Amino acid sequence: MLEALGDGTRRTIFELLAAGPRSVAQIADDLPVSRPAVSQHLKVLKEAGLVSATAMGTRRVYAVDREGLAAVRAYFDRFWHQSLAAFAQAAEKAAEEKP
Amino acid sequence: MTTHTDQDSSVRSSIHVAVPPERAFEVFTSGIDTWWIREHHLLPGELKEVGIDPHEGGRLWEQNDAGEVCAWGRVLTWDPPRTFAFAWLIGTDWQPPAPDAPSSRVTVTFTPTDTGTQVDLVHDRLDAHGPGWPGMRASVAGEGGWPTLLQRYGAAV
Repeated sequence: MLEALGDGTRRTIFELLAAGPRSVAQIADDLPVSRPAVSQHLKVLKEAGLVSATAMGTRRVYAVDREGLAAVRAYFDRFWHQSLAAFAQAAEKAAEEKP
Repeated sequence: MTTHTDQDSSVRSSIHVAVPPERAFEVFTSGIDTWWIREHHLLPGELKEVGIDPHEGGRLWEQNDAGEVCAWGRVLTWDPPRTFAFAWLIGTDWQPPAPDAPSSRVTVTFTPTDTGTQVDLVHDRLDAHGPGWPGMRASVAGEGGWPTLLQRYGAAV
């Protein structure tokens, strides 16, 4: 899942979808990325369980998957990764100051 | 540092620090205010302080610049310098939680190594928070916080 959000463009797409559902064309209009590339990124996000797709007429609309646990897990994955890095920095700084 | 996510309701993250377990435990708990990421707070205004009451049943709390205090966790295990566990009460609305709010569980173990301490964190029972995570947007925004901190960490070790 971290890998799915590890790419800057995918993260931006995920952020766009967190603000509201969009089609591939709508996402491509907002980003300097081609529609096929957007589709490829959506495929990775979908396989990671982070987004889901719904058919609306002839279009497919993508949205953040709020039903699954994947989004909650992705949140805490990043949260603890970031927090432990900050903790390690503080612990080793404290050790330098108070050997 | 490794972060691994199972296909279940838990998340694991580990890091090694070049200090003994006693120091690692102390910084993680009584020193939480020195490393807590300031953007993560529940009360309005600026985060002033984050703290942990050092005993089983104690609170994990935050205080804002207006002096308001909110408890967002409850100590489940206080066993220095090896194990610290707490109930995580913050729900998917990312609002100050009720004392009896459904909770997930965070368990942190400190294992001595030849060169320091292996810190293993497991955050499980995440399904207790139910579906949906509206507050996740800020966390995945990646506006400098996460990558910047990793860079700082890389520079520090």
